[in-house]
Amino acid sequence: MALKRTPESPSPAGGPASEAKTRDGVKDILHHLANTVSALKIFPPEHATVIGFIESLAAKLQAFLDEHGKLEIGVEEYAFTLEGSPVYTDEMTIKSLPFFFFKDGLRILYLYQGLDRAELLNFLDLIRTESQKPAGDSDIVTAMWERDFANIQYFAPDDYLETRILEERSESQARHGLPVLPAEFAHEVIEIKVDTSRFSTGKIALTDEDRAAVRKGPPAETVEAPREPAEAPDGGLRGDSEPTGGSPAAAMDGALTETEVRSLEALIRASRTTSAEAEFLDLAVEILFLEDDLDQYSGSLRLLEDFHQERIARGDFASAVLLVHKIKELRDHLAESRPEKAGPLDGFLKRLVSPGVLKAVRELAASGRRFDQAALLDFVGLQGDDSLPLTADIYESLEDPEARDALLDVFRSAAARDPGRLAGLASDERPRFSLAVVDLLAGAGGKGLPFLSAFIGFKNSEVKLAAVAALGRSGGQTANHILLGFLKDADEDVRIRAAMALNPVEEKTRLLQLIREADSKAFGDKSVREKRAVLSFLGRTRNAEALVFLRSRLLKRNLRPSAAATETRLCAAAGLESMGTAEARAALEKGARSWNRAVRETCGQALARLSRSTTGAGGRERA
Amino acid sequence: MSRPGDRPETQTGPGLRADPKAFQKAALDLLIRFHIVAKNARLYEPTNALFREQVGALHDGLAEFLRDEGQACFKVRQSALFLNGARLRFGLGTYPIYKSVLEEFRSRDIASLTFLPGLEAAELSKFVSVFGKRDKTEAGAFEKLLADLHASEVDDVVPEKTEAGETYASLHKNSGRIFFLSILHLKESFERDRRNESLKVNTTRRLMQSIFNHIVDNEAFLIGLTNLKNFDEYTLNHSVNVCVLALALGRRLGLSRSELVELGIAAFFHDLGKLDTPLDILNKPGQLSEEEREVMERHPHHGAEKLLHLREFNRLPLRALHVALEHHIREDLSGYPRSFKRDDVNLFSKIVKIVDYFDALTTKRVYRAKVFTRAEALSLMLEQSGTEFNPVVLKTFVSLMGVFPIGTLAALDTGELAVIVDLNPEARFAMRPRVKLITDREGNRVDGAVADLAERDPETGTYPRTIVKALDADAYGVRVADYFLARAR
Repeated sequence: MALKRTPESPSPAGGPASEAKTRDGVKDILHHLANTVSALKIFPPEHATVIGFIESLAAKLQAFLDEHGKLEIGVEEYAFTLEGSPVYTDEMTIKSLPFFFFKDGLRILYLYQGLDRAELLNFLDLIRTESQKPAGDSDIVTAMWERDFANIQYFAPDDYLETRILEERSESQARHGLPVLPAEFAHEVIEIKVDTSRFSTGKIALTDEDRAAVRKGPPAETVEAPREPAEAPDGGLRGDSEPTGGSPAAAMDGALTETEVRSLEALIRASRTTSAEAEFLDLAVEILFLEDDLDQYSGSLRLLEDFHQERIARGDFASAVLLVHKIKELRDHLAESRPEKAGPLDGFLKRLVSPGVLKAVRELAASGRRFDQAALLDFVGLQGDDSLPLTADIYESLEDPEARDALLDVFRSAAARDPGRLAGLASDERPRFSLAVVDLLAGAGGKGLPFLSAFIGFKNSEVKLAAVAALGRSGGQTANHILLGFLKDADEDVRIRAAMALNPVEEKTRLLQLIREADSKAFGDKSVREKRAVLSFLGRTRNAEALVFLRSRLLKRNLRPSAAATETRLCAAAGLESMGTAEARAALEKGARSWNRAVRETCGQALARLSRSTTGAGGRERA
Repeated sequence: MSRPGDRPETQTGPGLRADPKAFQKAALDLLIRFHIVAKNARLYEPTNALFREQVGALHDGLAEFLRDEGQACFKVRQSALFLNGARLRFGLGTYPIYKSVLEEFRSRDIASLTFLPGLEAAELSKFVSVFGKRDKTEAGAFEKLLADLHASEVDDVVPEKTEAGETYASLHKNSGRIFFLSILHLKESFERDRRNESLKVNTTRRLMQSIFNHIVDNEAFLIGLTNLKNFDEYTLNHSVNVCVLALALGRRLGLSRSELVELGIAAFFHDLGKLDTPLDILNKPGQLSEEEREVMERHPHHGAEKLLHLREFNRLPLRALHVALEHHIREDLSGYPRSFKRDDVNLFSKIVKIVDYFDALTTKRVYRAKVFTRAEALSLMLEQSGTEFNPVVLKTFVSLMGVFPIGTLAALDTGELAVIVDLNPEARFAMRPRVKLITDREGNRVDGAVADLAERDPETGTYPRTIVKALDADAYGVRVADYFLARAR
């Protein structure tokens, strides 16, 4: 603002003692101000230290302003002054509050009575925000001007701006080897020179037409005295002028009508509520539409890509979705008329799911920041199946179960359309996702089940167990076939679960193979749980060969039976129990007479359970 | 007794303060009533029935306000008006009143005016009669007011004088320098763009603030400077003119400060695309061929694209791109460039379109035989309201510029010629602006005084001068801008 201080500024009322008291008071306030600002830079605003400083500053300032009405502080490079004398200095540029104001041209700061806590906090926040910006971006004067404080004013003379503009120009000229005016003459570039002697020299002769008009005089309505004050609340500001149809005078007939004011307010409101991102995208698309130079066109697309990346990094998927929609629309529009422009748009759309985008989403998910999940869903949904790998990775990286659930619909649709594709995305590197895929494939019924075979060979046990469980629930030969594959898994738990989940196999060759495997030495080295599970399965088949095998295992005698051999006999007993047929019972009865006590007891118990059981044979091994 | 400006020790409850909106409304109502009475006091005797009614209305309003607040203290501080410490914000309809009251205070060196409880209607009437005497800005205006109030025994209305030292420096000189600085800065910006260097957007932003501040203090003068037309550096001069006019219009429309900075920057760079338009097309006398027209009509697109590709893009307001792209699109969405999917034009584009068109029409160009006077330009534009221009924004612009726009050369009924230098803030005196006399009655050029055409001869009660018609300054070889520049030396 263009206020200017002259040397005759009044000193505060009262004598030297009063002046000294005032100076001390101002010094105190400025120290508190500096301390508060320093605290705000270190601690969050709600920190006790900061709150304490603010309260103290507010109280002192209030007291001073209540007494004096205003506080006028001069700003020098490293000092605040009162009446031209320094009352606070700080020469450490990096933290000096006077320098912070001085560097942007602020020379006087005025604080007025009426400044309340809210306004003070606003001011302090402004200082904090501006001080944290990079040097080139910060301007406290601009910030204060935009904030438009009611009770904090400043004087920042235009000389500063003038010097800045002239220096920038000189710098630029010098850089390009152009002539540069010496600094002392630089300001003359904008000196105003007018030859005013011409104002009093010569004559202006009117044309005949204009002379006639002057002789005729002005319209009578202009000469008459104004009418009585109108009774309108605004005292005649409306409708007092004499309209002359179609001329500016008609438009000058008072202020806008109520309808016009409302229309204008609606225009301004619409301008303020339109999303900046949406506006930008509309503009960018218009520019792309108009551009014929393919280099410029590519340049604009690159900018849009940067925009896209930046929005993703902020979690603004809504803007990303909007961008995709608009580009697709433009592409469709240009496809026939301008294929050379439509082509790059396809490439652009593909790049929207680039590794860079994925990295940004991962970082976003890892940051724990919340974002619009619905918009994220829209975003991934827009990409179609091409984005499934990205979506899988997004799912994997999300910690929030709700956020993950929101993505399941995408995968559910994919499972229904192309379960193989979905299964192909499962991997040991995506355990969470893989677990979800297991459920989805199992839920897709007959279509999805076969693809659970994709999990054979996985390292992740949890995933494999889930697949085995899903297969077990499904039943059927397809599930069985896959479960047989899991019998060879490296993980014993998986093998056991698979065996437990198996249903009787229809394919005899496979069964005989299993019997052979169970008859091998290697089988004997397996754990009792596994042996039990496999032999119980053999029992469940109620197959004759299985019966022969199990009976032979149960009744096999060793001169010096090993623990492993005994285990196998006991597991064979479990298998015969699972079988539950008369022949199986007969074998168990024989086993119940064995000289081996463990075998004897196990067979006896099995027989007892069989006689108690109402369903008998065919039941699965209990967990 | 409490000092004026002090909050009263007791209040009758939270009252208006509890609701800032209600307070603003009540304050503005009071301001309007005060304004009506103050201006009518110059025209009518205190015994005039309607005038007495107006005073009564003011008294009633004050009484109600005083019941709630305990006092009513109007204070001026750096071109802002406060009532009991709360800043009053003007809207579209109240701007002229706001401006008028500020001027009333400034012309009398009044910093604050306090109405105290106990103020009776009769005392108020005496006060407005004293206050209404039209005193020119001269030394002693405040003291004279005080003396008159004392003589009239007005004790419950207390004025305070502007503090010594808080004077206004040469506004015109500073405004002039800012105007030319703007041209220089824009020239620098264009050159940087040509060289593909970064723009100094923060400096531009700061410049917009300064222009705005000067508009607040000195609107008429700055608008007067837009009469300056530099034929050699047309685009630069034109862009600065457009910027100044856009800011003045945006302010009148009630845009916020941050919006005004954006508008200013957008207006400043609206013709950046012309850097890519060959000069021989820009300056071609006569009509352009089809091909040349196509080249010319690419400048909005090129301008927007340049802004988009600038490294400082993130610091530039987005609306600068809108304005660059859309400032030749009509209200009915015809115009150029063609659009992919436009269903409306940005408000800022509408604003810049109007001021751009106006400045172009009133500038002599090699391809146009006629230069329109400002009044003619406004008439022509009004004929296209609704099709070419948004009608509400245009009407506001016309109101800003006035029936006889600042810079108009006018013939007076005395035979004198004059240049309009300021509008009368009162709408009833739209045809009676302030003018600088540039010839005597015989047509001899003079460096004359500034006359207020709304002032009547105290003896005869008639108006000494009245405008007969606006003249074509260019046809008479009158360089209107020089009269403004002379005040800025």
